[in-house]
Amino acid sequence: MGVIKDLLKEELDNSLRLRVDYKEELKKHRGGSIVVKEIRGHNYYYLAYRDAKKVRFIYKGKKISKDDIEKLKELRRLRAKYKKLIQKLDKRIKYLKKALHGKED
Amino acid sequence: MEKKINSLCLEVLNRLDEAGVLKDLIVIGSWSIYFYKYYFKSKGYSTFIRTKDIDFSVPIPPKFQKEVDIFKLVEDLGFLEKYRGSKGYIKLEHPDLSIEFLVPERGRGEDKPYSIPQLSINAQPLRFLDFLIENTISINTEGLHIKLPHPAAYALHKFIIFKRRSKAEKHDRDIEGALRVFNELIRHEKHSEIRYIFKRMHKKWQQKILDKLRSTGEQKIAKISIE
Repeated sequence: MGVIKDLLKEELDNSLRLRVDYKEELKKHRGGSIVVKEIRGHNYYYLAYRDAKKVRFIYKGKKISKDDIEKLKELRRLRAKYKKLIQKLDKRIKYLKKALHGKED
Repeated sequence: MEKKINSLCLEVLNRLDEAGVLKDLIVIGSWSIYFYKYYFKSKGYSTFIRTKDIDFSVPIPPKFQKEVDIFKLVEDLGFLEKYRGSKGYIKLEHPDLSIEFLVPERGRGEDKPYSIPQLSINAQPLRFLDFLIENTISINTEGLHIKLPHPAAYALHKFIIFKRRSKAEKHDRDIEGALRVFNELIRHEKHSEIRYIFKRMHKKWQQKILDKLRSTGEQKIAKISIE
């Protein structure tokens, strides 16, 4: 029984640590969308993203390259992946805690 | 769950293969037990493993003909690049799989990670890896050629390193896996292969293995090794 408990505990510790890591990555890799603001007949591109309750805008320029758009798409895919994996870890952590009758610190 | 982990592992191997570096890597550790099913090709062989860590051994000096950023190769699968332990060994982590790289430790050994710039990673030096690197087999699955330690080398190696395992649970896991591989080799009457690899080992290692085999009641394997 001790061996199984040790295994579950190890898995729980790893899952908790990894969940923190994914959350840090989400903070690091800000997502957002490209928005165009038309001011006096000219287009200006901004990266709009949510920072807690505020929506912030970062000016990107009068033009935006395909490369930048592609990078942003890639980033969004990655963020979606991380969010999915966090959900997976949440489920796993809940299950492991139940199995161990433990509490999260 | 197991199916998902296996498919993720195969995806990683596929990408390494497409990047042209898999042929220069050896899958060691418990994942070898899983892949030996393609070597033994028997229904009775249990491929059950209790680890998510896949370890790759890199022979040194590395002979990669291409430069590949391994992390970039698997990043979109959700892997994170983490620096673990006080030494800062790189580990690529995913909830279902962790990837680590190891190199043989020689001489007095170095207390720091071994840098492999061709793969943009570092590797942990470990004792006795040369023994695994010198005794390899290749298996074919899903269009991949995967290099593994010879099953006899894998099992014998576990009997050398068992004392280095800090956790009793890991030690027991290693020995159980090694015995499973030994028994499968015996079932396939590959006694001569066990013997051949055993006889090429250092005398001190041989003695260590025989002592451990006898103390765990595995006289039959000990006898096959020295016949």
